Amino acid sequence: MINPADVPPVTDDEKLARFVLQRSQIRRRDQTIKPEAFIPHPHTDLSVTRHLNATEFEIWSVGRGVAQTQGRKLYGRADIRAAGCRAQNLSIRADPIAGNPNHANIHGWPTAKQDQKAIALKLAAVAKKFIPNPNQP
Amino acid sequence: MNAATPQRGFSPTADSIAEMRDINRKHLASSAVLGKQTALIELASVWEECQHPNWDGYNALAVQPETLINTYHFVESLPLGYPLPSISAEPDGHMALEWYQNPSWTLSVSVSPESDLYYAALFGANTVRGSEVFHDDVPRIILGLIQRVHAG
Repeated sequence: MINPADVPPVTDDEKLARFVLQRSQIRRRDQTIKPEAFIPHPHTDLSVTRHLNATEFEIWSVGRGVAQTQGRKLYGRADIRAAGCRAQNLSIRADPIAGNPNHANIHGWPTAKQDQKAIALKLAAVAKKFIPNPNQP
Repeated sequence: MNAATPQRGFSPTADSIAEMRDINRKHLASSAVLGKQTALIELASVWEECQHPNWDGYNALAVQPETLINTYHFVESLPLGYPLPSISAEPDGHMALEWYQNPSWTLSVSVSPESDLYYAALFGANTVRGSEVFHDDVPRIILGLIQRVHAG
């Protein structure tokens, strides 16, 4: 994981994980992610976890922690590149939090719902595959 | 006189024909409901999971009963022959209806508790977006987008 004392800014080629705790956000027929997983409301930012310096095990540990804290089931995650977010005029801010120095926020979302949906569609399109939680039967 | 409700004739034969037509119309309506059953079952399932706050683990708002009712009416109002959407909830408590070919060729329509519809569609590199108010009939622009997704 990233050293909490030395958190670098997010670069374009970084992968960002969005954990999925709601099964209706997954398209079962082709295991892709629905755009709803990328809509930030009621927040103004979208919470993600950077892959930088993290092993797969560590990424999934963070996801399990998020699910456990919320009393939810971790279905899996979707990964997007930082460049894909910036292409939609969104910004990514490193936002280390207790237990997750790799935490970041995607911000700069438009306020109109239809504009948020259009961006979420594009993020889901570049994320493509849903990655199931390996510990989930 | 409206073309959809032709006037009955005045002979026993005309009455029988009208009666048969009524039976067929009821049967057709019943088939249409059955045809939409998969979407309505999914709607009930999403409602079950998302009627309480924080259903997504990121502090999502609960889906309100009004949103459920509006979504039900929307699905019911889809003309016969139109493909059915898959249904999910959105973090702001709206319900989302999706018509999908692949990740780059898809339409998503959000239904709000106030009967507002917010839509966005992706057709390759092009996007279409907008909002409409739902008044019993599915707006023509959305019907056109559904057809475009499934023609692609």
